[in-house]
Amino acid sequence: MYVGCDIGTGYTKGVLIDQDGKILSSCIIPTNADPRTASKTIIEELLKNSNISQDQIKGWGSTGWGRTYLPVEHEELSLINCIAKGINFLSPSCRTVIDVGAQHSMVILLDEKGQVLEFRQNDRCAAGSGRFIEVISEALRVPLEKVSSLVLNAKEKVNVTSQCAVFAESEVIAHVNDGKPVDAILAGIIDSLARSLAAIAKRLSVIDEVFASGGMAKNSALVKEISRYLGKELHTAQPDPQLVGAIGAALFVKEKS
Amino acid sequence: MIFAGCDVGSLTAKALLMDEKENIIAYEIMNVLPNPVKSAEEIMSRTLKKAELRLEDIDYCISTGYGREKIPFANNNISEISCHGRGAHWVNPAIRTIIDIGGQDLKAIRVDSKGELVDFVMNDKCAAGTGRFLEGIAKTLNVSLSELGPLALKGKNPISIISTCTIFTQFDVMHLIVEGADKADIAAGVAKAMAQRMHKLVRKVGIKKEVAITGGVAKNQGVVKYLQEIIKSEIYQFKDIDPQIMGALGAALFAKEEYMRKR
Amino acid sequence: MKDMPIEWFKRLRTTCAVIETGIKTGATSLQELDIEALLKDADDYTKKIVEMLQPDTVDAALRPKNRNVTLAFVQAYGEYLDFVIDGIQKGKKLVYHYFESIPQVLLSMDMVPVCVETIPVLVAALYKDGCEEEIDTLEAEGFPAHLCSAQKGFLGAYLMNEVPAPDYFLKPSVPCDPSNMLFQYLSKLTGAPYIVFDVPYYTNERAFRYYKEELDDAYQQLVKMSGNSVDEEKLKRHVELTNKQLEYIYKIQELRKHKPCPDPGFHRPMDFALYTIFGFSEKVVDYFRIVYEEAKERVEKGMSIIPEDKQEIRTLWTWAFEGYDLSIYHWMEEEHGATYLACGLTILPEEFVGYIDDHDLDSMLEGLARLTFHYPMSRQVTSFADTWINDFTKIAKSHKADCAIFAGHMACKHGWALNKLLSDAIREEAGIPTLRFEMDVADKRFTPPAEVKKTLSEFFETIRH
Repeated sequence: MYVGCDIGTGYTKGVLIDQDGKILSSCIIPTNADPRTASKTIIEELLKNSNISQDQIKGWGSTGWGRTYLPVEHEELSLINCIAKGINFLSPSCRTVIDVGAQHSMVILLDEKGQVLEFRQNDRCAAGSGRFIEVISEALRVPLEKVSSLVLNAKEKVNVTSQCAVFAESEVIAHVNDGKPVDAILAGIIDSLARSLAAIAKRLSVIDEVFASGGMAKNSALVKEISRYLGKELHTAQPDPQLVGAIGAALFVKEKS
Repeated sequence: MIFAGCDVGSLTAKALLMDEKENIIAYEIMNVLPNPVKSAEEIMSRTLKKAELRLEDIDYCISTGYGREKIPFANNNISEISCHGRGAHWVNPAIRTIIDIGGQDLKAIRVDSKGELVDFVMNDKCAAGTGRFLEGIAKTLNVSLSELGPLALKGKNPISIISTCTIFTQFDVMHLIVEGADKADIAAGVAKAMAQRMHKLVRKVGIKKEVAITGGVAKNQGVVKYLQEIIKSEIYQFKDIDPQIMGALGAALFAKEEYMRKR
Repeated sequence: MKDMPIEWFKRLRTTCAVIETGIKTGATSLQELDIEALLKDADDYTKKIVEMLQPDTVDAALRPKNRNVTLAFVQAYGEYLDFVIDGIQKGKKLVYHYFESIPQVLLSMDMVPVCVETIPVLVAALYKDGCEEEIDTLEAEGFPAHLCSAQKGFLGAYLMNEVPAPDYFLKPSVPCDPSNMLFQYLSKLTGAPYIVFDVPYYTNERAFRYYKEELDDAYQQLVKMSGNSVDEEKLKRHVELTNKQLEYIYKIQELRKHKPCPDPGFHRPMDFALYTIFGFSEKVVDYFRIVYEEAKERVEKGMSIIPEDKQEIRTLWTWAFEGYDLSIYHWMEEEHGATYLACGLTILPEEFVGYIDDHDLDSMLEGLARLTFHYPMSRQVTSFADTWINDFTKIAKSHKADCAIFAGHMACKHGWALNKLLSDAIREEAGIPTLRFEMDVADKRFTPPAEVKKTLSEFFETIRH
């Protein structure tokens, strides 16, 4: 049995797999800027849920921003490699993956074996990441999980011009004061994010099949908009796009042993 | 005679009244209301009250800042860049370079010996290096904005801030706190990062002494300290006047000038 | 003796002496270096210089695989700086020139040639604050941040009285328009005549003939203005040295095909500096001889420059090298097993340059013209993208590169305009990915060393075999 942990700036994700790569247990919790505690909790949850003891685990792989914090002896792996590995396992037809996390977004081109061919990432600016949506939805007092359905059902879209998440927040508050509907404002924000993500992807190359991974891929409104800007179908990694990195990490340690 | 300057920013609104001899009668600073016109009316009302004057007593008023064309009681409006340059130069005619840190922008202004604009550059695309940046960090550190400067000065080992983004930096700070880092060292690191940001911008117009900082952030002694270290020279600090009032002050001076010209 | 502003030359000269002494103490790392003992009898100026040095760079220089070559470099470049300082003080005619130039001819005209591009890069590489103050000084005059730091650094140094005014400025119209314009400012400030020879857009034979005429014309102008003429015997001597230098360079380039690459990347910036004084002296030739002999020995004895437990990642730098943190090349080898095959600032293709026929003045000028026509940086920026692309796809294949790195100097707009064509072609022809990142070759503030390392690390982690 093997465990893969993806310790991100927003969430910490863990999976437990068997020798055939089957997922026995998985867990996602917020990191809360405390990767030590979060990863410790993940380990506890994974073992508890699958009824397995720590010494039965043959290998521990960790990846993501907080990868060094996993409190057991582990192998540290590059997130880019893990995402490619994970998506290749889940969907072997994938050649392009767009991963949107809390504080990064990246586009990876991979071959049929899951080997990374090229990649681009933005981890400088909140406007290209999950935090953008988080900051705005907080300002609008809308729970993050409701954003997608609100946007999908919105009748109109309010244009948001600020490129910066902090300024967009001010702009959004001004729109609210002007009486614009919340769903229209959110639609504008999602549009803004989708457009910039599609632009990064196109600067690289977009080769079918294209998949979305990362926590933000759970937002189907976002996936739909990115797809529209790409002019290609964007699939969402299944069963859970947020687990792709952790799955890749687990697969790597499985391979190495 | 009474001349007025009104400066509505993204975070604060300012107004200043002076007489024909350029004596400052009164000035006030307040947080903005959602509507810039309402902000201008409110700040002007407060300033007039402080001076025991009425709106009708004002002979000429110039407005500047956000929504300046919409201010109903202003006779005219002038860009905040010109107003900041003029105001700072009037306080100290030796000033040639001004770094103005607004709520949501960062400007570097070069003036000549007469206080007229030579060059300027602005960053208004990214919150890093603006008042919002410090505001966010103060919140994360659980201190008020005015406490951030003294806290930064206490920091002996400024922690290197890697992220350039305001939001990411807030996250980094949260993490540093979890890892037990000293808050003063964090505040110092943030002040240093801010100073580096300011330096990067002001380089584009060329740094010529005397250098002054205007806007609320000028009061953050941590930022001043680190900027002085980077440019290897003293920064002129406003002693008897609030650095945040420079825009309104410049506007009032322009008001007097324009009035005299039109007479 | 005139009191000339020669601070930068003096500083570099002292630095070369300090590094030479340090290496000769036998220390193989910064930790081992007994700085106290080294400075015991040193004067205040020397002590000040040692304080300014970048410790990581000194550390890398002392490492066994780099020390002999570094020693040869500081001896060669130190001797050259002595020549420059001496010449300036004696009132010899000082000619500032650009990267692709004919120092051999200038030397045989009894002039003092100084390549303005080299000095700021060396200053940025060696000292903690680099040439940042000089850059800022120039910018305060009204120049923007987005111009080349190497150019700004030199002009700033002039404004800060750290380098003297030249008697002449000799410039090819390459590598870029900004350099052509910017140095005219220096010409205006100093009153020194600005002689330009045009390098045409193409790299074919017709273009070369045109270029040769331009170079001849510039040289004639210099002769007329200065009253100095070429001592043919002296020129022959410098050409001989140039040919010897070329021979070693070609051999080294061949040796780098070997797996693992036997030549440390730390040497490339030193190569760059010595290219600008091609054929200056025996010591310059010695440098290249030692680089070659050490690389050859490694190949023969199966010695590696990367740790045993690392799998080699063979990198091809398709544009510039990062010049403000030279320890990075050593770090790449130790941390990632990443070796440095070639770069756009040091490749010299033998098939185009060959050797210089020294039988008479004409043949020597022709040979030198050919050398400068195909100089690194110059050759790539002229002509259609093909030249640059073909040069690098060729090396990618012949040297079996695992990946390409486009260290994009932010001021080289032509490079950035090409970068997609280049990396696409390299992927198609050689099947390898390219990492692209922006940096400013002589200013660490643009992309700090820690960030460069992070970017490289992330990239190397995705390279597999």
